[in-house]
Amino acid sequence: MKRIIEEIFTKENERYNLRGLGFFKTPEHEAALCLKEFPFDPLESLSSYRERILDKYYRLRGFSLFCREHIRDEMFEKGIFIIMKRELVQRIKGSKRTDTDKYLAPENDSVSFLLTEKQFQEIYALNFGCIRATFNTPEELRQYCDSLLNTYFPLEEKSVISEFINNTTPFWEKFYIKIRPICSAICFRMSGAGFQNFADDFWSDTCVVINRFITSESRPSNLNARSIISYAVGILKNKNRELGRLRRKANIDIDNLKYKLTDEDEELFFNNPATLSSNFKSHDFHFSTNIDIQDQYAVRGYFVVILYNEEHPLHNELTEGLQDKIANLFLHYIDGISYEEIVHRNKGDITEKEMAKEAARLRQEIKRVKETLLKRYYKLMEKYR
Amino acid sequence: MNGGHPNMEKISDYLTNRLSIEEEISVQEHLHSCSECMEKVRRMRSLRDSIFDGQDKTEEESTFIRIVKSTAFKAAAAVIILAGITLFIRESLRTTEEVTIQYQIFQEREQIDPPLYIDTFSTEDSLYYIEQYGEDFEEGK
Ligand SMILES: [Zn+2]
Repeated sequence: MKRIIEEIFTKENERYNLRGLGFFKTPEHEAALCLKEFPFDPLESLSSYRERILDKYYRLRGFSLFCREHIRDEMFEKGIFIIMKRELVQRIKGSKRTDTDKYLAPENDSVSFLLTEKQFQEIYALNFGCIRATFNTPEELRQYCDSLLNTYFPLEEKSVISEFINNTTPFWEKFYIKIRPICSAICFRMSGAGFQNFADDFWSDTCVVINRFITSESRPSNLNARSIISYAVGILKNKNRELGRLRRKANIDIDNLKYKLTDEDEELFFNNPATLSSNFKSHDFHFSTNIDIQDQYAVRGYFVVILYNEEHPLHNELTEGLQDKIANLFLHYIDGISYEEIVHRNKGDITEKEMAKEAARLRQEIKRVKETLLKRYYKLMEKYR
Repeated sequence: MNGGHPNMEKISDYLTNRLSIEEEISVQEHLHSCSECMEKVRRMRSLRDSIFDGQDKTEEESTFIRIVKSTAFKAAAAVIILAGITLFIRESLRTTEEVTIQYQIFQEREQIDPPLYIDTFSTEDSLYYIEQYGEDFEEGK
């Protein structure tokens, strides 16, 4: 019983960052206190116990007073920002895709539910500045955040467009991801299988040009979501024409350029399990919706999710070539087995001197593997953002 | 969970706070009665906490901002395009996921060749749009 109550408080802490806010000592401490105050009846179901005691427990611990006293703390404000962003991710998952998103946001992602720090600060100042509401539990606080979000989101197309015009980075970032596959497609159409060598340059050039155009005074006055993506496509197509002209100048034999896939290519592109659409990471998977990089629980949790779950689409990319070493890392970090014991398991009985040497080597190795994995993880976050 | 163990995706979402309160409670109900899953959650947390012990990664400048900044200073088009010409003649078959789909769309288009207007731009290629956005792009401006 103790274990599951500790789990509940651990989760409460992860969900609302209660330790970071200074409200929880440790989840274990809170669980022990809770069980002492509100003993668990073995005949009662866990959810009914949870429902019955969490509310009372937070009242007992003075959550509402805690909120009032900390409402102006930077940490508290940051915590609310993270709670709101998590709520918005739920909304992206649970609501119908807006037309604005159709034109401006990548698949599974949204600009209509995008909360910038600036907008958050406005919402916070307006709604938390002179707060009259009391929050008896973190859940009530979350519900209050949720109700606030209802009044602001989804953003109207007009507001989204003005964020683009004002060059608000998070909005542009989503749009850059949006046009990346389009860019690849157009380059591929023009240049065949070798497209990838310059598709990225085309993409980044297009990003620069469209951004300058929309944020400049020469942009059209009646911009909408559809016209922004149309301009991006126009820019791309013009770039491809440029390429065509240069090609002729450079005296390249156009007849020999690859415009279509051969049978062999087709085999590689379509009949290869690695190219199945279900594996299209950059389409199905966006770190930008999956991970809020300001949310340490999400950043850290997701690392473990990829590392631990062999079926995760990014698992192989993260662990390639390190599998054996990761097994030792798990033994040490998860099972708490000492370096000496791991060496003993792998090498049997060896002399004390050899053991010291091998254990030191293993320690170094685990440390290096950990560093390599983290480096790869941060790179992946950038790559699939 | 249909009475069975929550799958890895569910456990992952549980760990990274991506479940609704109701889903979270249902996972906890399961953990309460299943030591196997409880152990899985414990192991993942323990890995997380020990790996990130002492780590504090500050947010880096995002890829896009760097791309945009670096590209702005490039001697741009000519260099890129010339490099591109040399490179794309090589039959590089590094597969890019999106392209498989795009290519299929293009292939289909070659047979049906539908009308296509994208605001102020010419009507050639870009079938991608018809597939993605349907009629919107066929209406013309
Ligand atoms: Zn289970």
